[in-house]
Amino acid sequence: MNNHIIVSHNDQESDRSSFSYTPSFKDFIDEDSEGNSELFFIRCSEKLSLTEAASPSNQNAFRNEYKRMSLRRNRGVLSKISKKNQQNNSVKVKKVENYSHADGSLLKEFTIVMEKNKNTKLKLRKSKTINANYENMFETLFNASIVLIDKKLFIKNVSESSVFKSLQGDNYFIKFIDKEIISPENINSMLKRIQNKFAFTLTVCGENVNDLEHLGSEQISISKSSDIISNRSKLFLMDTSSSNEIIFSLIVITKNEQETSDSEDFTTMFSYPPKERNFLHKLKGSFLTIQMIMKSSFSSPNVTVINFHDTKYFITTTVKDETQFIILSFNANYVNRFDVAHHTTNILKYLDYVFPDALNLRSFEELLTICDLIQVYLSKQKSDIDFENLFSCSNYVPLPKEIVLRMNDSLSELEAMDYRNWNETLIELFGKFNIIGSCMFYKTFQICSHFNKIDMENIELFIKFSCIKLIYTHCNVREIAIWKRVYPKDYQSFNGNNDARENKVFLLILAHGNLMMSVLLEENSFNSNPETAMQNSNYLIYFLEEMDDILDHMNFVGIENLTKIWINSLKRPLCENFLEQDDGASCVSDYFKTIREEDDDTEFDYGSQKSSSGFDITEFSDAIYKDFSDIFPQTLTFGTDNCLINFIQLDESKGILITPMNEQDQLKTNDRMLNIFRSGCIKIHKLLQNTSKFNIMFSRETNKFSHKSTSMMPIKEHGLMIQEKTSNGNFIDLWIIGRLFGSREVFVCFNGKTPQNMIEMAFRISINCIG
Amino acid sequence: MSIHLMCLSSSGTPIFTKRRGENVENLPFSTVASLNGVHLFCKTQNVGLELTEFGDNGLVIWKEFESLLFIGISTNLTERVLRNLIEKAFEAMVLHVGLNEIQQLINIDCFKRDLKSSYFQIIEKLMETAENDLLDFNESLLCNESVAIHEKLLTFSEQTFSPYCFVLSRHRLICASEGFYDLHVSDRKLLILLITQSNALQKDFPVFLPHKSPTIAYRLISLPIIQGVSVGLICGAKPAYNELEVLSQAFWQDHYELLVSAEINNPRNFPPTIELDSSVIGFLLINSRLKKYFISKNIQQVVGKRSSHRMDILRAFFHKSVYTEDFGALSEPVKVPEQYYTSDYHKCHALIKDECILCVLFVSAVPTHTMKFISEDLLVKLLSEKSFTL
Repeated sequence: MNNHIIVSHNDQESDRSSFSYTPSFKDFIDEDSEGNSELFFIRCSEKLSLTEAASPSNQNAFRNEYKRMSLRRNRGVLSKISKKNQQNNSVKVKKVENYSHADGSLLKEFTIVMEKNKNTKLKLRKSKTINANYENMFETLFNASIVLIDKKLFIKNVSESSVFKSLQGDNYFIKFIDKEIISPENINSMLKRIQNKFAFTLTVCGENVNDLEHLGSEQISISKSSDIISNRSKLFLMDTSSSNEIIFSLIVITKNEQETSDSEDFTTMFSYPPKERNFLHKLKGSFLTIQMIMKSSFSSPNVTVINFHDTKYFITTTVKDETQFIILSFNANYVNRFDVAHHTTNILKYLDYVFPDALNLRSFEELLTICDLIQVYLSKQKSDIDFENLFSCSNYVPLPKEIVLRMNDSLSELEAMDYRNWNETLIELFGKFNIIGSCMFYKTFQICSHFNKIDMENIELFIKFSCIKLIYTHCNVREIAIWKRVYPKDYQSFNGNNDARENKVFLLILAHGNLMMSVLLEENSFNSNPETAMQNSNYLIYFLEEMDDILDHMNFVGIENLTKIWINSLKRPLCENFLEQDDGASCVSDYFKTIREEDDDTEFDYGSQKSSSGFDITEFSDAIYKDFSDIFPQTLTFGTDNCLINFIQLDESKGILITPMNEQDQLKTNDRMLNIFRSGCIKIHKLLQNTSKFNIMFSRETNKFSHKSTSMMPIKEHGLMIQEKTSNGNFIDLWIIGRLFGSREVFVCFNGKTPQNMIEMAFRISINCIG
Repeated sequence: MSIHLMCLSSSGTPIFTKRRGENVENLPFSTVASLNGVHLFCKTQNVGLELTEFGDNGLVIWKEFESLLFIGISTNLTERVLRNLIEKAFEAMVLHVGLNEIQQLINIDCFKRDLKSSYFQIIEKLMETAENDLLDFNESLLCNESVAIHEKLLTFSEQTFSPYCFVLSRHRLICASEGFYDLHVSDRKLLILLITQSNALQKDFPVFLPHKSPTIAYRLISLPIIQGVSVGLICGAKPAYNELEVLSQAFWQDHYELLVSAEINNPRNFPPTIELDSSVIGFLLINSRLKKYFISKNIQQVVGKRSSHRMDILRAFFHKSVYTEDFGALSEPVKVPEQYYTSDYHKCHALIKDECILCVLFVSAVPTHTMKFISEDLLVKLLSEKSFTL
């Protein structure tokens, strides 16, 4: 007997053209008595390699889903805010009938017939139709998620309002939609197709998969940063039952000057791990003495190496505000000596960013969580030589200029807050805050930034030490919504007040899937209304809504997909002959042809195409498409079979780091070849750093300077040839070369048999890949 | 570059403090005492305090030998060099007083007296050359005559009943007996240093060999033969210096010409039969098995005072790039058979083949990819000299 579930839209909702991903994170806002509020919400699921493989990384996705850019202004802020509370489930169960039969491996089969009222459309907002992530699409349509296991799409996490709620007991996978067999390859197109249909049939098939719970990508919700610690085994596949090995320790010591005598009293205010397990606590006097000696005699911070119970530890001591000492220790099994100074600097910068001034009792609870997160972060570094992640520079993906232009335009629109049809509420809303800057990430890669170097560095450290980067690496992120008051020290406030404690600055981070956006807001003290001073959280939600809208817009125009394809296909076709284009290239040509045709499509009537920068995109889009059609993403692969094996570009003065971002290659972090390359980079980087110091000395002390100090040599290029045994037993020669271009360091790794002109080519590719 | 080197007894009494470098002042006693106190406190907590890095290339190393604590503080010196320097300072102490006296240290003032001035001369020399010298290797002279001299030396060794014989030209080793090469490189280095630093007319020193024989004393004797060339040997209480002097004069007088022709290779340090490419400024050749090195400059390229600075560049290239443990973090060792760096003024290239390490300093005009071929050609020429393995 067939089981029919008749589904239609609620009439009340029929006029709604959209519904949002934005979770009801209001419940997770943590507000204190002084009106300071915080939000930390992450929803993600375990990463399954199968799921990853099924994601649309092919050229078709590129061709079909990159649509014409349109500004989002027509979906005005007013309308969106007025509608945000109307969001509800899109489907409603009308009728359920049961049907089952046993047939070999099949245990049960349900056919669900969905019917829609002819006056309504079962359709997602346009932005959602473009979103390539079928998981999100399915979840939005049916209030249930799907998981790919063994090429079958299983239904999971069925909510109460879902049409699938009657499917109990067994695990069901989607077999047919309108009698077409469903596979991971066509689920996307089928889901899109059914949105426009008034009725369709969906057949699910039950199967006993005993370990589905284990295999399935379980959803993990994090509502405060300490949840990351409690969920670390699920998030990062960490063994939480492991020994009490101390990876990272931190103690905060405060100097209390005795009024009655000249002596000073040093008290341990905070210890991580607790004092009884923390050897730093016992030895604090020694490190303070070393710090004092170094300060008086040699004027610098220091790194000390000690041996404790046959384990080597690196200790760093820093003075904060003349009254506090922060002593950090790193286990040498997890951190290289070269890394210690970088980690210390980064951690201290991060603490400065998230705490107003000297650490005090109020900040210790949060500091404990931060230390836990740092420990998790460091423990995941084991056995990796992670040259790229040592720096506080953003890992930048140079996308095509056209895409960057469009992202810039969207971010500028947000920053300008140039909205029409304002009413009083909105004027107050946007008058209350100034936007300092914004930036866009694809996973952990920065794709667009309107921040200065220091702000970008701080945000980079925030997402690194909050483990957001780790979560992106190890999980499939669904949503992230974070806001937090931060205390940037080195920028000129809009309020003319440069006191970090007085200025209220908020960092907002919002992510949908792989796209993540970050905005820095400053409360405008000139325009603040004392009556609403305590209601920051209400206003910040509006900003998150705006960011949500921008991310939707980015999805809509296909930025996420394009970035993914750009990363997987990588860069410019500099080393291939365009005349011998493969099918992929011709696909892309077709695609550009298609989007030219779609340019005239009247379905998307968004009115004026004028950007916030004042010029009309439609006027030059043809020219841009022409430029685009000349660019064929080619796979610039890596490995021992290639001429160019790897490259890194580092510019610490500008805060830019560029690396190959091929996602498949990123998975091989333990690869020996990669570790050799990174070790070589560290060695070369150290020498090139000396050159920078040499140049500074040379420019400052031209008259006094002598070349006598042999340790300071202005090296501009350093090359190492490595002889390495490959898996088939043969030896391969690799060259690792680092070259200095002003403040920019470029490292390339290539096959030893590569001729000189190809080496120069490797540098060209590495240098010119920006835009 | 600056170095402070201190030695303290277990009670914290300073045995010596030495410093080196421009504008380097003595450390206050309170600082020295604090550094000692920190080490002592960590020791009571079962924590081994190894080193502290500070500022740009600053380093403090604590190293405990027997009942003595050595503290080395340096700027712009690699960790390996400072460690080597501290070890050599202790070994030089053993060389002078023996290990027993250090272990049973009771009277510090007596101990200081026993160290004699020659010990401090060695320390000062080591500190002076720490940045440039290759402390793990003995400097040698590459010459055509070394094979013939080696044959004579073996006969001389038999006559003097000493298996540890060597011929020095200035401070460079021309050749040595097999027994001498069996000694630890530190022993060899310190013995040669003791001879070259001493101003005594009669060079007959009681020595303990820090690695070979730290508790039983031998005699180190240096016998001058011609200007700049001397023969050294280690022996027991007999024969007496005068007897050896007579014996050596009688033995070597027939071979003066050989020694003179070897001596004229100084300061070029390689035979005139080898021609260097015009782009080569200098080279450093190392035999990693015998732990000896040859350093030389191309006279055609060397003008004025800066020639020694260029040799320092070559040594710095070796210290900072070739002789490092930068791939130590990897589970398996990494072979780096070739490397180079370029600056606006020079280019350096290193080639590692079997037991040979060749570092070549080029003019900056030489194309990077041709350095390899020039170095390979030079290595073949240099290895054709048998003295490389003697």
